[in-house]
Amino acid sequence: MENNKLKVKDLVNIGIFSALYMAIAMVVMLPVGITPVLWLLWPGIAGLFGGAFFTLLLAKVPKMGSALLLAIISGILFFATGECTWVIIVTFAVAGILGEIARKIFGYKSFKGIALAGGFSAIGFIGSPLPMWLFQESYMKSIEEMGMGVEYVEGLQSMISVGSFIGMLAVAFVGGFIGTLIGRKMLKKHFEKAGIV
Amino acid sequence: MGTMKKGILVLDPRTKILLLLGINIYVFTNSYVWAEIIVMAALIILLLLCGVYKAALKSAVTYITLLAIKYFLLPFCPEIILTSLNIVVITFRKLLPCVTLATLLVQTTPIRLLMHALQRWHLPQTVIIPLAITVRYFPTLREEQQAISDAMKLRNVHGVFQKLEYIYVPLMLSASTTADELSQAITARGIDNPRPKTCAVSMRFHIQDYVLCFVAIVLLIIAFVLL
Repeated sequence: MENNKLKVKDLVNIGIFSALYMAIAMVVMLPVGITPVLWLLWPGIAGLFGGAFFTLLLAKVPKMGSALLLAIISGILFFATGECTWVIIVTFAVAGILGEIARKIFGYKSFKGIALAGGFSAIGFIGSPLPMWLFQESYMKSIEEMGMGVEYVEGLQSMISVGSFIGMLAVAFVGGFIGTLIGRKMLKKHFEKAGIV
Repeated sequence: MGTMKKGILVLDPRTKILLLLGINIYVFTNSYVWAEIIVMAALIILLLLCGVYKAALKSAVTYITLLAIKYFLLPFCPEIILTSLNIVVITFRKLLPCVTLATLLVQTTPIRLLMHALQRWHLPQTVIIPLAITVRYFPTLREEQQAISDAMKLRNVHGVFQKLEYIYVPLMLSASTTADELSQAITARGIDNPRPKTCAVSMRFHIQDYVLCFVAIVLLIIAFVLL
């Protein structure tokens, strides 16, 4: 526990793996433009594919703050590149802190902590579809303008409801969690033998 | 001097970040289309003044297309696809001001200046260093990916899962060796030095920065009044 402070090498690792984590999230984001339903699933999918990078990073840097830093950097960059709004910084910060708490409880070297942190980090991605809930007023207004029927309003409300929000959270967490499981498999198969972790 | 001077207006990175934040919060509370059009027009003029012509044109065309879809195409759509299409169109239109301004930030700010600006705001080095590395690593990542897919073509790899594994593992391996080499390189150049880092380019606020910061604050106030 004496070397629990982040050194330059750890910071570089965090930087590079954040790039990988974000890049894979952006790649899986491409088909999302087609339909909003996919957008709700995006946090989970991104967490699933990014989980391997996340696991390797946390295995390489088993110190306090690495999960939080990854989350904050992803949030800031998604904001600064205009992919998402300021909401994503908040969600990623919260997700990172939750992840850090999980790691603190289970110990920085245990896989349980990594898996939980992976799930929480994926929740950070919900900052991207979250504006759908915050823009509700605009949607309703456009419905009034166009004079749409009851059916339409119901369709909209079923998609943007508390239930679907909780569903999205759950999908994100499960996606991130499974992502780290795949990551652990990969680590065992390729990286432990090579002595990287 | 390393600043990317393109147009007639040069902005301080801090101004751009503040304005981005202001617009970001504003779009959430605003639901008037006319106000949105004014903001969008102002942004496009700002981009033109800063010399980012291509992005300005792209944003203008995208915005007009989205508006046109909403008012001319949607009323004639069948109801089944209308629901989801309407959400997509509105969301993208509302987020477009943020995207436009972010393009300005990315295209006119060298990463060194951005780091300097964040340091002025007393963000800890533990955040600034990995942030700079992340931004710097994206172009490298594209090269790596290209090399890996070339190698896969040579070796005739089939199957989705196998392909995924054959992409992930070399990427992760090269990333972790790059991390080791890079940390040695930057340690040798003295990143450990605890003293605040200096910057060759002088960075201070000009009249245009004060004006735009004022605009950002006004947008924030409007946002909270509307709330």
